[in-house]
Amino acid sequence: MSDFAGMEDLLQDFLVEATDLLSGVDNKLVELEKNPQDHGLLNDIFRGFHTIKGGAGFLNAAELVTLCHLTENLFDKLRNNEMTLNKELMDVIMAATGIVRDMFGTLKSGMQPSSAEPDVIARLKAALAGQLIVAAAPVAAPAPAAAAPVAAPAAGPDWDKLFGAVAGVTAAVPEVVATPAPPAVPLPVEAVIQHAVGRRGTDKPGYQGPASGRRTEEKSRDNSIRVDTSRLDQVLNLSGEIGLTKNRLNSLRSDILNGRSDTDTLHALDQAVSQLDLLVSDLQNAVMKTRMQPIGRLFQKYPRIARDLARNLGKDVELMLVGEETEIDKTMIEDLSDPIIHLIRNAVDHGVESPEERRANGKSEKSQVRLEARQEGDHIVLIVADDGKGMNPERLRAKALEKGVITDEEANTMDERQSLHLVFLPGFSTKDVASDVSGRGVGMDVVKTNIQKLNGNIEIKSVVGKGTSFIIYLPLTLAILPVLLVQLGQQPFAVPLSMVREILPIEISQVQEVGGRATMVVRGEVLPIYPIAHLLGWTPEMIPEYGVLMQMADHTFILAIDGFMGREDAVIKSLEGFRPKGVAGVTTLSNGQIVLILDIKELLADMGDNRGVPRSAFVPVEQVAA
Amino acid sequence: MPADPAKIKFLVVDDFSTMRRIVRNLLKELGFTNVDEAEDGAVAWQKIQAGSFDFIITDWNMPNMDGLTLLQTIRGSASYKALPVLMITAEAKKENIIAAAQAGASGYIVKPFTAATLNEKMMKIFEKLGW
Repeated sequence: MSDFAGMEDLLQDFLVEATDLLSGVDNKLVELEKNPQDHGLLNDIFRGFHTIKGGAGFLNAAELVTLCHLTENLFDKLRNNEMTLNKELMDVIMAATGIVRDMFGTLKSGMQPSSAEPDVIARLKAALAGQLIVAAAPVAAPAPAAAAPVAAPAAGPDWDKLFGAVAGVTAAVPEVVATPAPPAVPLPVEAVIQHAVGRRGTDKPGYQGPASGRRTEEKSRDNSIRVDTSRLDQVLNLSGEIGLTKNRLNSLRSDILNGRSDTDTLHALDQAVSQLDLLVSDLQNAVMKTRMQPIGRLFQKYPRIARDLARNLGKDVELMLVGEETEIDKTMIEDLSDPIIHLIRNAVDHGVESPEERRANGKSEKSQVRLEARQEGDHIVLIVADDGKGMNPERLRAKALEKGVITDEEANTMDERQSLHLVFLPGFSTKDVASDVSGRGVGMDVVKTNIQKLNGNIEIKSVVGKGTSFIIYLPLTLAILPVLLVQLGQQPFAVPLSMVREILPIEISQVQEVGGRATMVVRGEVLPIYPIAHLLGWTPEMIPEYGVLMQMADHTFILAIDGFMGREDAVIKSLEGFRPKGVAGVTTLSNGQIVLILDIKELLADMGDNRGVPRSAFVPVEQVAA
Repeated sequence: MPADPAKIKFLVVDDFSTMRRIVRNLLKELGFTNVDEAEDGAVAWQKIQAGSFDFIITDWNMPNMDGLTLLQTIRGSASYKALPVLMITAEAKKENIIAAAQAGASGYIVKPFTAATLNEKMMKIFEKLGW
C-alpha cells in the first residue's frame, strides 16, 4: 500500500533530485566545519533545505517539511549572523541531515515518514530560541522545547511562522499585497503539536502507524538515470546518420542485384560500408556515454561519513576528494559504493593514528585520507590513500600464521605484495580488539570480491610510517569486455584480457614436474600449467603449444592453449535462462561465429586441487616414442 | 491577449527541476500547455529577452539570480516591465510578501498549492490585466 498513489512519478523525481541535493548539503556541511563563517556555504545549505522543504510540501510529507523548515531557519539565522556555529549546533544539524536522509528512505518505500526523533526536533527548536543546547538526553529534551516559544518569543519567532505557514498555507495569504502574514502571537505548544498530529491524520488511510516505514525500506536499485541532453542529441544525430547510410546501402543493393558491378558502384559500396562502420562505433560510444556518470556523485557522501567516523574515534581526519569529474559506468557507481565506504572506514579506523600518536611521531595532528579517481587509458583507477602508520608485511605474516590462515612454508615464501594482500583473506584482521567501526576482519575480502565482480582488481601499496594506498583498477564499462581469443583445437574461446599478462611458448625442455604436476619457471617464479582442455573436461586434440600467463587476484598460472586468434572487444550477451559452469556469457565475432566467454575463476574453483596435469601431457608424441 | 489558454506562453523558473515539473503539470491541468522552463533568474532573463513570453511564474530562492532580482530586472526594463510575474515561495513571511509587492509582483503563492489555488491566483491577475 503506497501513500503516494498517483504521485509515483513525482515522488521518484523528487527523490532523485533531492538525494543529490542532500549529498551536496552534506558535503558543504563538512566544508562549513572548516570555514564556519563562509557566507556562500551558509547560503547554499539554507537553499538546499529550503528547496527540499518546498518539494516535500507537494508530497504532503509534513514531517519532512517540519524538519527541513527548522533546519532552514537555523541557517537563516546563521547566515544573518544572528547566531554563531558551534560544535553542539553542528551536531544537531548533522543529526537533522541524517534524519532527512532516513525520511527519503521511507518515502522511497512508498510511506510517509513518521516524525523525527523528538530529541533532535527539541534541540533544533531550542537552538532557534537562542538557548544553549546541551547534547540532551532524550528524557530531558522536551523541557527546553516546551519553554522555547513561550519564554523567548523575541528570539524565536521563526518557528511560529512555520506553523502559521503549515496551518494556513492558503488562508494566510488570501490577498497579494494587503494582508500580511498571520498574527505574530506564538501558538501554544499544544496547538502546535495537535496541528502536526492533525495533519498527519489526513494521510492515506492505509498508513500503518509511524514506525512501520523507516526500517522496512527495501534496498531497491535506482533504475532511472540523468543524462545530459547534449549526449542524447548526439545519439539521435548518429542514428539519423545511420539511417541515411542505410538508405544509401539499400539503393546500392538494388543496383548490384540489377547487375551493376562497375568500379564506381563497388567504390560507393566500399565508402558506404566504411561510413557505416565509423558511425556505428561512434553510436556505440555515444550510447555508452549516456551511461557514464561523474564519480563525484558517489564521492559526495564520503566526506560526511569520514567526518562522523573520525569524530567517533577521536581522530582528526580530512577526506580529500580528487578527480570527481571522472566518468564511470552508472552500474559500477552503485556497486562501488560499499567497497569504498569500507576502504575509507578502514583508513580512518586502522590506517591513520590518533592525534597523540601522530604528534609523538612528528606528524601533523590532522591526518589526511585521499579519495582519488582518474582515467588511465581504458581503465578507471580509484585510490584510497591515507598518511597513517602503514602496514608492516612482517607483522601481517606473523598475524596470519598465528590465526592459522597460512602455513609456515607459505609465510616464508611470501613477498611483500603477497603479504600485504593477506588482508583480503576472509577472517583476517590485525586489530586485536574489534571496533564497531571496521568490524572484525569482515569486509576486506568482500571489498575484493566486489571489485572482482566488476572485472577489476585491487592493489595495495604501503610504506611503514608513511601510509597505505588501496588502488582499484576498473574497466571503463561493463558492457564491453576486452578479451583474448584462444583456441582449443579449432574451437575458439574468449578469456578476459584483464587477467592476461603475457603469452609465451610452452617448450617441453622448460616444463618441470613439481608434486606430479607440470610447472614452468617464468622469471624465477614457479607457475603451474593448466591446459584449457583439462579445465573444460575435453579430450585434448594436440599438445598445447602456447601458454597464457593469467594473473588472478590470489593466483597466477599458465593457461595452456593450442593457438590464439588475437584480441577483440566483446559485447557480452548473457545466456538467458541457463548458465553452464565456467561460462560468463557469449559474444559474436566479426565473422558471425559465436564464442563462449570463460569464467576462469569459476573453472578453477570447480576443479579444486585437480587443476594440474602431469608433465607428460606436454611431451610431444615423437619424443614419447623415442 | 489570447483567450485560448493554450496560446499563453509561460516561463516557469525554479532551480529544482521537480518543482518545475509540478508547476508545469498543474498548468497543464488548467489547460495551459505552452510552457518553457528556466533553472534560475539569470537563465530566465535571457529567455525572456529571446522569446515572447506572456506570463512568468518564478521561485524566489535560487542560485545565480533569485526570483526577486529577476522581478526587479523585469520591472526595470523598458520592454518587459508589464509582464505578469507570479512569485512562488515556501514562506508566508510578511517581509517577503511586502518585498515582492514593492518590487511589483503580480501575485504571490505559497508552496504547496493545488491547481485550484494556482488558477485562482492567475485568474485574478488576468482580470487585472483585462485579458
